Amino acid sequence: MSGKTILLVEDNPDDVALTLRAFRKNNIANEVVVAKDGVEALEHLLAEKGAQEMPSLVLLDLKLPRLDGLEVLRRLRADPRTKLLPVVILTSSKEEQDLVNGYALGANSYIRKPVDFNQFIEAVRQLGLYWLVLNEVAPMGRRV
Amino acid sequence: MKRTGAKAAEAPDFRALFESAPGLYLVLSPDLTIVAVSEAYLRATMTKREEILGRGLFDVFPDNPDDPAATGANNLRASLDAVRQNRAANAMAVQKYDIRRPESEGGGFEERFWSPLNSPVLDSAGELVYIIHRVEDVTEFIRLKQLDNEQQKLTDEFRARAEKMEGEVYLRAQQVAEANRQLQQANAEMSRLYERTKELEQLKTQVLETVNEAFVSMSADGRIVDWNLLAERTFGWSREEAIGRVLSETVIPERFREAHLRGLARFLGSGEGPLLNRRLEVTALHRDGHEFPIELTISPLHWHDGHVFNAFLHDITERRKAEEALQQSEERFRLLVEGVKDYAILMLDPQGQVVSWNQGAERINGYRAEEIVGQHFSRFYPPEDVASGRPEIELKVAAAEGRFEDESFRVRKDGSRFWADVVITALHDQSGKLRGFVQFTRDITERKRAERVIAERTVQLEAANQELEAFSYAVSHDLRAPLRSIDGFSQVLQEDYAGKLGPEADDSIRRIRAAAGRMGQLIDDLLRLSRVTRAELQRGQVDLSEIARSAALELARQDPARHVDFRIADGITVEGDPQLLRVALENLMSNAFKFTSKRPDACLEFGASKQNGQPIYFVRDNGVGFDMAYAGRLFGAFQRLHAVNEFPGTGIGLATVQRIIHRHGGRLWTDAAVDRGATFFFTL
Repeated sequence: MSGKTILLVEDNPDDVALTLRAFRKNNIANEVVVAKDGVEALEHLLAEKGAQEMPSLVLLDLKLPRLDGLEVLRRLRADPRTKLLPVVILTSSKEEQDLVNGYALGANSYIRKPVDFNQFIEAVRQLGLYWLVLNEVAPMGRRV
Repeated sequence: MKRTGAKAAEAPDFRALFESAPGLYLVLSPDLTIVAVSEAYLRATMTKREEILGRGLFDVFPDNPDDPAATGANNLRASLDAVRQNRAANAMAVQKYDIRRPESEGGGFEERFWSPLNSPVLDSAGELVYIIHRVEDVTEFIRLKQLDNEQQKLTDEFRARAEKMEGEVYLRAQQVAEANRQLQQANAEMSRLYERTKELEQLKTQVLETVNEAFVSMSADGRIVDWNLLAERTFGWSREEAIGRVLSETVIPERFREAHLRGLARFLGSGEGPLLNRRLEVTALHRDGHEFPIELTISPLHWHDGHVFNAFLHDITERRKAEEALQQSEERFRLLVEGVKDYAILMLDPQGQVVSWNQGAERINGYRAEEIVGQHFSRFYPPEDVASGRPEIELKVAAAEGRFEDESFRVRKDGSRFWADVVITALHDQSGKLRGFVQFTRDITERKRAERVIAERTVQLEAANQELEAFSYAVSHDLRAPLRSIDGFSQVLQEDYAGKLGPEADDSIRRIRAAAGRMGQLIDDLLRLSRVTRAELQRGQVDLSEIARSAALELARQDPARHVDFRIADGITVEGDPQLLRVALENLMSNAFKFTSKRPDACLEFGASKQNGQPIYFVRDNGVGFDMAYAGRLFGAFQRLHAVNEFPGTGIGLATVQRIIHRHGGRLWTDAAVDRGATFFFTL
């Protein structure tokens, strides 16, 4: 399990720090790769250079510089390599349009970041348990 | 002229020949004057030629005044008339015709029997010139038979003559029989005609009784001669009573009688009758004295020597009433239409010429009725519309589809334009023929202006709404992120430096985190409030009872230590937006739950009642309540009536509830008292 990476797409360094702390607090030891915007995220996942390992999970913020989270999701789902990659939207927004669009574009889950850090830690705990331990990844999630 | 010594070459003396002929001959002119007579005739009738020539036949031979049964003269006259008329011989049966005895022989009349034959003498043109009246004196023969005189001598003497005469008598009898036969035939024809006449009379009566008109017939002397059943009903006189009465005194009101008689006299005098054979409407008189209008047609008919006047008529009281009612109704409508000022109401003929014009039309279009009636309605259109044939097209559409509606520019008399709302309706008569159009025009320039303003405002509002969306999104996302940092890193401090900062620092961190939490709650509530305003209503059936029950369960779950008596009425369903109504009801329920938190016997009720037939829904609690003096502030955002540390909350909940209720077209109000609970009522 520990060999599997998590891609965290998040532009706010505070949120990055708090998220990493939440992983730590929950003993999630997977390597976390951070992409600071949508372009970086796509480069990481779809770049031809090197035979990079696909992450086990992508945590995707929606409001991102350059390319926003929904557009990143749309492109991931359009590419056969990342079509079945588990993507969890992790965002501040609770707007209905974001929820609907997120699921419509193929998000596997949608989690709103709570203000209360304790609740956030709990959310990350469940998220890690579910997606990194319990969930079986589709075989096509691998590079073909 | 010499009567003797006639030469063979000369024409014989016909006069002498005639006068001395052995038969009994009398020659009559067509007017029955005696012009010639034979000697034998003179002898037989005991007359002298010079006494009878030039005299009338019946002057010379009158009937025996002493014989009341005398028929001779009459029968002879009939026979002669027949000759005159038919230009053919006419034989008479043996006839008793007494002869006047000369005074010298004692006077009086002598009984005689005759067998006469009357023959015409015609000229080359067939005109009657003379009648030859030939008779046999059969007096002796008759007398012989009567007296049964056996004097053989006489018998012998007369037998030869009698035989000869009997032959002639037989012949005459034959002729008489033939005449009788013809007479019988004529009789049969006569009685057939009589029957036919009777039938026709019956038929006439039947027709006149069944015809749906009163029939009155008047003779030239002004008396009623015929009168059918309907005439009886119309005028109140029976047929028996009416026939023979003077018409004018029976059915014409007194003041019109003289005119009636004048008209009758004029027609009889000059043949002029301007009122005849025409449909007339006049006033008639009933037997009971009341007058009533009738419609009639009088036809004069030439009948025998004079005239009769036939009239068919009927009472038109009902029709008059209907006509008057119609007239009044038309007048009312005319006044109504003319009086309308906000609409131009005008009638057009099928070609589009203005037929009528009301005050509204004058006000809106600027023309007075006398200026515009008869003009074509296309002058109300701008020139470019006239050029493109728009007026004609609109009429065509109205005629085809019954109605044409349009909003477009029209032109006033002074040339200025205005926005007009125009409805053109086609008018058809009962047979479906186009009779014209009625056009309603309203000046909607002001409304158009207002619509333009509204459209501009709408665009502005939409822009503002979009800004609000963007703002809400930014609030949702960006305002919360720093809060997470504040809370998160405060906790980092708390965890990583616990016990190293001192109790004051620990308390400060706790307060920082509480404030961040509250601000997060505020942002969430504000977003919900704005969503309630922006979201479109999705109407459907909503089970309020079910929402209240699930809200109660959730509240009880959140605070299991509390004991609250929930009383939720069943089966309250309404129409509305399910999500928004859920938000509203949950808000009211959680409010009630919150404000009863200090009561051990907390009771929370949801139900419905009716006021003026309208359903009212309510959420009632027995909590701390509030002073109604502040009730007005209750529904404003961020307004609170209690301290936060006493009852937590952002003060946005009731504002949200009110918006939801208002968006459903309903009303929200409250009734409360301090420490005596609160009830929130709403309608939808």
